Amino acid sequence: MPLVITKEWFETIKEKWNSDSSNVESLKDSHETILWIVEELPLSKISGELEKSILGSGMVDPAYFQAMKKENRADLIIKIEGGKITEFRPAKQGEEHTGMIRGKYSSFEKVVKGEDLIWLIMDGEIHFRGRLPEFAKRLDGYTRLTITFVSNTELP
Amino acid sequence: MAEMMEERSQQLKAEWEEWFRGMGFDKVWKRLDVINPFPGSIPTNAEIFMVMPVWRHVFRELHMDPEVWRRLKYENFVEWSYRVDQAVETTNRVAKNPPSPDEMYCIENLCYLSHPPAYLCKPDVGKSTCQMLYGKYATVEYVHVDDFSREVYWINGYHNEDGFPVHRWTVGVASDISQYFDEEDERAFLTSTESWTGASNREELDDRLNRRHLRTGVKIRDVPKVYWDPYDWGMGVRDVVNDMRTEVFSKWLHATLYMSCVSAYISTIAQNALMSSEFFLYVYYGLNTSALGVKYNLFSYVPIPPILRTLLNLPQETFVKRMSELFLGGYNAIHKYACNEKKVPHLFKIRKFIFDHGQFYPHVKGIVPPMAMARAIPPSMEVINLDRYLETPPSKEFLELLEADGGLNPETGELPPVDEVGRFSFLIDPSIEPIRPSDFPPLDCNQGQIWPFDITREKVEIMVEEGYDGSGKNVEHYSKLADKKMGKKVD
Repeated sequence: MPLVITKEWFETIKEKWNSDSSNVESLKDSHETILWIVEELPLSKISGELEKSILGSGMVDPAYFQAMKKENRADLIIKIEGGKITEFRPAKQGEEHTGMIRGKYSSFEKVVKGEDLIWLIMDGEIHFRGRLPEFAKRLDGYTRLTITFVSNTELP
Repeated sequence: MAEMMEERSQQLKAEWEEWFRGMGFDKVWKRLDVINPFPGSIPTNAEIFMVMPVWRHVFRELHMDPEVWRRLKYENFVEWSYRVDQAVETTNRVAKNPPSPDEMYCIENLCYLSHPPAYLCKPDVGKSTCQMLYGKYATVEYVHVDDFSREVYWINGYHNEDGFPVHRWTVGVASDISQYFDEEDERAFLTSTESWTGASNREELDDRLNRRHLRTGVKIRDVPKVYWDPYDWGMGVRDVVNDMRTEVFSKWLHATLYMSCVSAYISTIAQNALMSSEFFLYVYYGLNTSALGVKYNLFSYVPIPPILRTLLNLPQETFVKRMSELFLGGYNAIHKYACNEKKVPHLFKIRKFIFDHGQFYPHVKGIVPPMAMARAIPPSMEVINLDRYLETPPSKEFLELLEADGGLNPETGELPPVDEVGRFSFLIDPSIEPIRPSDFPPLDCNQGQIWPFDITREKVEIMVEEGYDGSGKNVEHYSKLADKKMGKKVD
């Protein structure tokens, strides 16, 4: 599995998602930009060499990367068009979004089925900001997205 | 008139169903099957589970299935009824032997009177407030409705003279409840004496719910299938119960007949509130449902006692404080059960879960003190304004939380609804620390405890250190002692 935040990681998740038609189908009505904030992600453990390679890819602003590393959190942008991920990358500061999901990495790891995600949200372990009716309609899609995200992530 | 009500009820039901789907709640509810005794069906009040977090966990803990659901309905029924029977005994005892000042608030002298028997009060105060609420003479019958079948499953209540319950009248109990009757229940509900009127057998109790309205022809048990919310249920049932009262108790015709209607879910939440201040919060929401953004009644009185209308216009915090002043002299009781654990095991599980985890678990871990409880900001289905809930502006920390988690607009005081922000939690002032269950003396669920309304973790710790055991004996003395140690001005 690719290491979190690397270029390979972003590309793998995007590819895995888009290549599975049932994933795409689950969010087929979706045209949105999701700010996905992952907390307690051990970014401070990233080695100097790897950091150089991540910054070298040009995907993330160096100052923003340092801030994420300091706080052990990643702010990610996922753009979805008709169920396909068209962009998956680090967020820019203050970037606009249509919905937001925030939680600890360990909370996302608990998501196995749709029930888990809704319980975690209602219990405040994972925070969701956005229109509830749309979110509820796409609950299966968001669950799949979370599972795809966790199952293709290696932590430093 | 009846046809108009039926038509309007159908329209309101259709509007609610459309709203429920529009909010996305149907899809959310589908994934809460673990708390649904009848998976796949949507009960009355389902949206309440979206905004009462601890109750989702309580029902998961109870392993809900049809049998647990029926048993829970039975346990609530007997607990409800025996509370008032005990209150009659307590009030008689206290009237004969008035307690000394240091025993005034002893927990054994507090009781649940019939208005409704869901919060503890001092017997003398209870009697006068009962009169203030219902008038000098009143017959108050509680009508409980199954959230899934929408059938009335029990009607039980008391006739009050001079504000005091003098006679229990069990109008009807469905057979799925009476199947659990033990010897004590058979004596209480299948006999009649000077102090109560039951029926001669279970079949008769069940059959009384089949009595039809003379004009509409609707059976008592089917009223909630035809009429929309608890207020309409009361309207639909009252005429029939009034006829029955005329037949059986013509001597009570001088008294106003009140019907109080509620569903099993809502009554379970209200009747099992951990503390009195929490119950008053639920009363506020139950009769003032716009505070939760709900468009129908969660609880009803038919007719509604005029004083309640006045009180409900107050902000939530003022309402909770005034009710606590009125019924408990400004104290806060941890509620006790009238029945023992063997008889009501599910209710004991509920009490233990909420005592161990807190009333707003999992968002707040620990027991929320009454002062913070009164100022809790609920999740709402509609836009709400802070003015409606708080007497005074929030603390700096609370304001930050309201802005960050509640989306508060500090200019207008408005908070957006659940569907816009996905907030399912109550917002509690973080500057007031929750109390740990271990801070209190061990809780006996049949005894309860009593504490000052202004308890904090520190105050509880000092009172316990000084020897206070939660029983109410010398509570004022210990409260003042703690205030003094905390540097507060004491009279």
